[in-house]
Amino acid sequence: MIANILLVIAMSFLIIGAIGINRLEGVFPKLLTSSLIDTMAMLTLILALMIKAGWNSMSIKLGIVMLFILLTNPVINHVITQAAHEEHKND
Amino acid sequence: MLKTTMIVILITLGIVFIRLIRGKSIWEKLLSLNLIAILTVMLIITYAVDNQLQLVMDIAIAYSIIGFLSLILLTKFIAGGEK
Repeated sequence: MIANILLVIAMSFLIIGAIGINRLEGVFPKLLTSSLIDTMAMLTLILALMIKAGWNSMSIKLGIVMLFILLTNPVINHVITQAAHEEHKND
Repeated sequence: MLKTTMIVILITLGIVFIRLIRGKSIWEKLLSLNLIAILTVMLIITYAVDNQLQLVMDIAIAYSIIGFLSLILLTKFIAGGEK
């Protein structure tokens, strides 16, 4: 029950992010919607899968994936945004 | 329910791939590449939980590490210089 609700939330965030990345123009507005998919859809999907998989080693591996993506994803977004900002400042 | 989630992830992957091809600047393309890496990891873990495959989960961990390294190095290379 809880897993299905979390899956519906993840799917709605995926659809909202896909519409947003198609409609918005420019680098910085696109960063706004891509972070929606990166954090929110990923978090709710992995929580739902952890509830669905039960308490075994697969759940621990899901936690490792979630921890790694939560640590590395802001780094990638920060590097891309910093490089784009440097280029816009020089023009 | 998991199969529906996999179909939605595939549709999002297609839209992001179109956006990767038709992007205007190089930074929008890099952003789309990051999204493609994350969506592939999501697709792999959904498939692994759906079919109860333990070994496929290790592939997801390795894929996330490779995506992180390649994007950081690509961005540093395109930005140029020693920053």
